[in-house]
Amino acid sequence: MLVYTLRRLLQVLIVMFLVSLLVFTMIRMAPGSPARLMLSEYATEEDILAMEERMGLNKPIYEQFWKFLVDLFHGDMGESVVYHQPVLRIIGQRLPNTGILATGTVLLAILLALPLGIFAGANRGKVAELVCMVFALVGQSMASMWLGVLLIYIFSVKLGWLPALGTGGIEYLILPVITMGYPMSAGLTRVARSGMVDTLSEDYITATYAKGIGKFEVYTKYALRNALIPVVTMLGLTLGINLGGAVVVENIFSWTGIGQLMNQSVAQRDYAMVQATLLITSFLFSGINFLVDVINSFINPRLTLN
Amino acid sequence: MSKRIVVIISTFLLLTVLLSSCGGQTGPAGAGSENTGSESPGTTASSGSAAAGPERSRTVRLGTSYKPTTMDPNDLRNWSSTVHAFFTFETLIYTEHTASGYKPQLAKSWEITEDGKSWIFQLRDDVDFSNGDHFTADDVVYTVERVVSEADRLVYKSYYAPTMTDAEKIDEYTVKINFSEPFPDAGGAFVALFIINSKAHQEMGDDLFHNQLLYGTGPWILDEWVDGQFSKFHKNPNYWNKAGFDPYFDNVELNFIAEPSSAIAAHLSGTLDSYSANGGISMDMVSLYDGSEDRIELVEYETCTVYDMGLSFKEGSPWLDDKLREAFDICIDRQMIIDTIFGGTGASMPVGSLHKYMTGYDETLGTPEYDPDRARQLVAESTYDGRPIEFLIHPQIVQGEEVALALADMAIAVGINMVVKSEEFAVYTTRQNAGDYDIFLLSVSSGDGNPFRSLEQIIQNYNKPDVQNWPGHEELYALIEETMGEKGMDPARRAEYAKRINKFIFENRMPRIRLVYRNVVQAQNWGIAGIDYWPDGMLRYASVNWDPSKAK
Repeated sequence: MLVYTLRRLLQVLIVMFLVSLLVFTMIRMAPGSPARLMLSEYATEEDILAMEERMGLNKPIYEQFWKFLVDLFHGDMGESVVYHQPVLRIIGQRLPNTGILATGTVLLAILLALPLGIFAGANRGKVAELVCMVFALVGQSMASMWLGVLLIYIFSVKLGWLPALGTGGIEYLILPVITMGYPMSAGLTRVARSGMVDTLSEDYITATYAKGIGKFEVYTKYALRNALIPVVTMLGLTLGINLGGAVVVENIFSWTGIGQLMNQSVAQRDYAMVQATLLITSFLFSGINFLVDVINSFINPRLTLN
Repeated sequence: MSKRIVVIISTFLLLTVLLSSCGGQTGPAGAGSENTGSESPGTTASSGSAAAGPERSRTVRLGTSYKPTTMDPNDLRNWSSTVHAFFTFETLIYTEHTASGYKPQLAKSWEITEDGKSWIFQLRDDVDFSNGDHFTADDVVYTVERVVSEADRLVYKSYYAPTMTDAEKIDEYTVKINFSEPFPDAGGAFVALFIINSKAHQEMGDDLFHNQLLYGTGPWILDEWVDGQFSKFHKNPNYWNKAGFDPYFDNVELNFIAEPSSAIAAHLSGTLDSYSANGGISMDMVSLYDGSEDRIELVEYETCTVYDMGLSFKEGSPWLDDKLREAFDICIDRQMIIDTIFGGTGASMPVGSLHKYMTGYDETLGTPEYDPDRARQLVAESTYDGRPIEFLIHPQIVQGEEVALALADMAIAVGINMVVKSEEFAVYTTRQNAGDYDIFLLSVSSGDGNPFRSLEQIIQNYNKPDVQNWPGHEELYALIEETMGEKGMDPARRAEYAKRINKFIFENRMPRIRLVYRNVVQAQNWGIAGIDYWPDGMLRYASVNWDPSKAK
């Protein structure tokens, strides 16, 4: 188990390095000069060159990358040219919002998807399964932009029950969480159902029935454990994606998370901010996947073999 | 098993009901906040004292797309940050953003020296900063020194006053601000020079702004700014100009909202008292307000925001041919664009090449007459070989894509092979600056009624070898250079210069062709008053007030 964990950890570190290299290179390959965008429309070529020098953009790219890595190891991810503040300070203000939204979304998805998926899998071919699958199909088919606006229209404009946008108490969280959580739970429901159906068709499940063990015990004690593996894997992936920010949902609900920030930084060619947001989200993504692998290895120790 | 499932489903239903009722308790204003749409003891629009009229809360909640990125009033890189700075900071002089000239604010009066290089301001002696420090000439000198010495970091100097050199304190309430050469747009520079508290800044440096300690002289004091979400202000109890502005509201909440449909939904649901967007609410979104006329007023006004088309004059450009330029200008059915894309009232016809709110406006110049037959004939007579002409746009121009596609259709109809290319703003700017285009669409606004900034921009945008290819460029350049170098600020002479340039650009269709002026729609609850919607597209929320006589 320890070897497996260390090996996965090493893979995470390699991924992180490659991501940093990719992020650094790609943002610089994008057309559009950040110095030009920083200055007024009246700026001369000399002004632009001076700004490029101040931003260190006049140096060879390998030199810029080396400085970036050295600064990174010192915990310095640079200063935003838009905010004139260390990028970590700005990200630090936004990350909790993203975390809250992502966690709420995942909780809602689990609460909906697990029981529905298991129920559907255990009632294969029955009306109950059809109802659960229609629920999943509708959820996966709806665009979050449309769903979000629809929810605002119903619950804020018409009923006046919930705030249309902003952050604050739990009431602000409900609509964005449903907008993100419903499609996510729909996908998870399908995975949970498939996992359950596959597991229930295994020989060892038949053997448990032969021993006279009751259905409930078979489902919860023997089948659920194996059926959970794909669910946990998918959950980890979607949580990682959500932590990377949900630009559409953040925009609709004016929920200022990291997705909005990343989007805006790319448009403004705020190199330091783009690098930092992408690196942090990839770190979170890799970290969550690492945790998922570890959790899966506990659920099914055979995964650590090889 | 089935019992457990019933329990699980019941739990979810219960949870949903609980959450819904939790939201329901917040009321239409949303989330435990005061219902700004409700009514409470009202006052007159210009005073904080009580008066007869509909009641309402003392907190006003404004929705806006103007999202500031900095609290430093000398580093305002966008209008959003400037709009925010109006709440807490003030300038020596201010403008109503029309050709009506400049008015005193922190300065009582001013004069320009004989050589046109210096402005001498007589300052008010009754002004305090919001932290209690007294305002003097030292603060003006300190602010000028800061923007000049830190010009590589703060954008003020490069944006507004490239030739500003220093400031001298003459006495406690008199200050002289110098330029290296006569600067005709100095007025425009001073209305953007927000004066900071020198004592506080000397003590804390830029942490003053990072920590949101905005000790200005303005009518509001910042309580909190949360990037991308909101700013909250309370009334400055010691504001020096209470006789001029003493708002009914004790608190202002400025909510930054990126998505217009969400903002309108929030306004309709009562969470906001007004919603205004940079460039106005898009005409296709305005209809969302249908049915709310009893509560919400749509404010529509003319602006100096113009849709211009910049033509390339690089070697071999087809636009070097006068006939093709004329053909393109008159093949445009501007009225059709106004009617179909801007809903009939969302835009207005251009007259000449300067707006009526701007110095140099000349109503005799008229509007290019739509004549597709003549356009077709001119194209046939021109040297244009039918090669594709790329029309460069970017997505941030409001309804820009629709406009560009319509223009391309009209051009194609008369034989000009035009292809629309939409680029990300960063790419668009880079290409525009490098002269890498055939024609580009831009939406620009000229502030404070002064056309010289946009003239200077024309020089800068075309300050490259291509200019040599402009037919008659010597004449236009001579006019602009003469205007920019004109000593003194005689308004009549400036107007005369502006008129001549206006005529030249209009008649030669060079370097730009004017399309339409855009009108703007913003929305506010009946009774909300005082928000300045200026014709250059700039807004001032800081003057927000409550007028019970207009409330419904």
